[in-house]
Amino acid sequence: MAINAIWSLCMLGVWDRMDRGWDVLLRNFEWYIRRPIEIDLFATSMEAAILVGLVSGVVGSLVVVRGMSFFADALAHTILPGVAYMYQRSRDGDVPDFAEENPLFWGGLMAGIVSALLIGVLTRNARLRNDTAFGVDFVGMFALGIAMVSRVESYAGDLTHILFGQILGVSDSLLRLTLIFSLIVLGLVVLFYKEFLTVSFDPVLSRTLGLPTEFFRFLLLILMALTIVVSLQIVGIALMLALLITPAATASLMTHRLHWMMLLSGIIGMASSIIGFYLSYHIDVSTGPAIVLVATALFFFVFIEQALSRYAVLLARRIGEFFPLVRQRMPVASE
Amino acid sequence: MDLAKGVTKIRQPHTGSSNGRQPHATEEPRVPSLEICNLTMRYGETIACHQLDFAVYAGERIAIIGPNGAGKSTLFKAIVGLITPTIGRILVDGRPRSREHRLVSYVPQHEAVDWQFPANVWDVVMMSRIRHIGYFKWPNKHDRQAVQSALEKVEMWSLRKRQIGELSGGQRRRVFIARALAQEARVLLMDEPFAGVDTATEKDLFHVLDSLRSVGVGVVIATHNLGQAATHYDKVLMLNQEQIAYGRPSEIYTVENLARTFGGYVTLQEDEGQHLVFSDDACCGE
Repeated sequence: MAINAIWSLCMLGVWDRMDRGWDVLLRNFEWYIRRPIEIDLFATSMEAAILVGLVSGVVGSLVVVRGMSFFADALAHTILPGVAYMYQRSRDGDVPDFAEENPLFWGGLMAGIVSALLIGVLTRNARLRNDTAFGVDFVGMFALGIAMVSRVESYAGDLTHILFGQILGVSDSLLRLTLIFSLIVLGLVVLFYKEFLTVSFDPVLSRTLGLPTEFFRFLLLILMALTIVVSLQIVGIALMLALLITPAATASLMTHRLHWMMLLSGIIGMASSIIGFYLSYHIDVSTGPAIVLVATALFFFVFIEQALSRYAVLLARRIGEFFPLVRQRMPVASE
Repeated sequence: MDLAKGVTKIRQPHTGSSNGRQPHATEEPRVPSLEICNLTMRYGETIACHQLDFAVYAGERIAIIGPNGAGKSTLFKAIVGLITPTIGRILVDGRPRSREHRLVSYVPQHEAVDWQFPANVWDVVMMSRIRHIGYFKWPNKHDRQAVQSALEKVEMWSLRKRQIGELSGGQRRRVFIARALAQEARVLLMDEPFAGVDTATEKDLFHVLDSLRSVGVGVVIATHNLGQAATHYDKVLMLNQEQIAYGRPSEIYTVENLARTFGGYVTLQEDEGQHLVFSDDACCGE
């Protein structure tokens, strides 16, 4: 009882603060919320970022439950040479026709699919699943990409954009590409949801049931590659992992079923994008890091909230041991 | 060994039960639910099991006994298709195993799964229905019923919303047994299901197995418990890399067979009544 009262008082305090903050926000709604959206570039980029938040949240859930975050990071880094190649050609002015408008996207896409397949083949044999050898390879590819970019004159600014995102450079055509590829990825995840669930949870069962487990492994790697390429303009290579992992990790704290985890993770990803965008606008920081920081803050918020509530339950139980009469009214601790 | 001879002459074109979701007992003609023909498995140069030849009919319960490393797990893995046999054939319901994925279900000795995985009991049991459901479809009423009745059989229905990591060891086993049941297979393989299980659970499990017998599911269980194998099973396969004996326990429980299976560590004494006395000093330590 006592602990409940103290807890409620604390929460009231927090609520009060939040309420006041909300008031300020609403009073200056026009200034805080509306005005940025009226800038075209901001609106387009935010739409792209919301899509990316959703897709990377959903795919990230699969990456997290399969313990493939290392692969995700590796994939993000190994696509750099592809991006760098297209970057070189675009600076030289000879880009193939289909990639006219978004050379970096297409360069990344091709490199992404190639490296996804390559990683898939290399890790096929259990004996070859060696983190160290793998790490050496992908850092090597990363270095190659940076070397390629650095051959172009006055590259520093562009390299920063590739590595850390260049959010306000989202054109209409890129937004369209983002939308198309996001829909493809989401569609495939929904279509093969139960297969992904089974293959991820119990490979032995999947094989006894004759499911093509290898096919789904490759499919997931390709979905990861697509997600990474789509996110490239938003957060860049270096922060990619955060966008895939953090919302999914947050969601995994909140639920214990995969489809809810995916949904929540997508929502958290979208929310991080939106909040991060406004933050980056108002306090004038780079967008990619802002989004990632918001996602991280959300993770810690949920983590601490759960730790505290678990602690509160434990404390309540402890009090109940001393006051048997109170104990009878205590909620059952296990869920 | 008469059975092993008998199986080869049966070769019936099979119809009917292939597309039905509900397994039903085939009375006559007797096509074995599971038939192993001249199976040899090798890992490189090592022979895991050699020239196995036996058949399991609908509703039969078979125990496989043998020391550690006798090839029990290898045999199971071959039957469920995790490894391909070096020589020999495996037929399920008279057809090659490679095409009949969902007719064999398997409960491994240790489930190598991530217990923190975001799935609850219901989700895990539903996984075995994936081939029944098919691609691009969602579970229908029949699938949900199968899952429910499987969970009720192992008395886990009330815990269906638990995350699997929150279950105790015995409950986890039950979930995986329920999953194998929900698959509605013709043959159920279990690798050491009684290891680390209390007597009450064991009794419950035999109860479940009895109910499987009535719907004509063949059950093959690897066990270390020789006494139980003699009393609770229709037939026993003695395995020590090669097939020592296969048949009713009363026929094949001989001093010679046991000595060949367990390499002399097990001795058998028979008193005037029906009692068999085993004394072993090496193999059943686990």
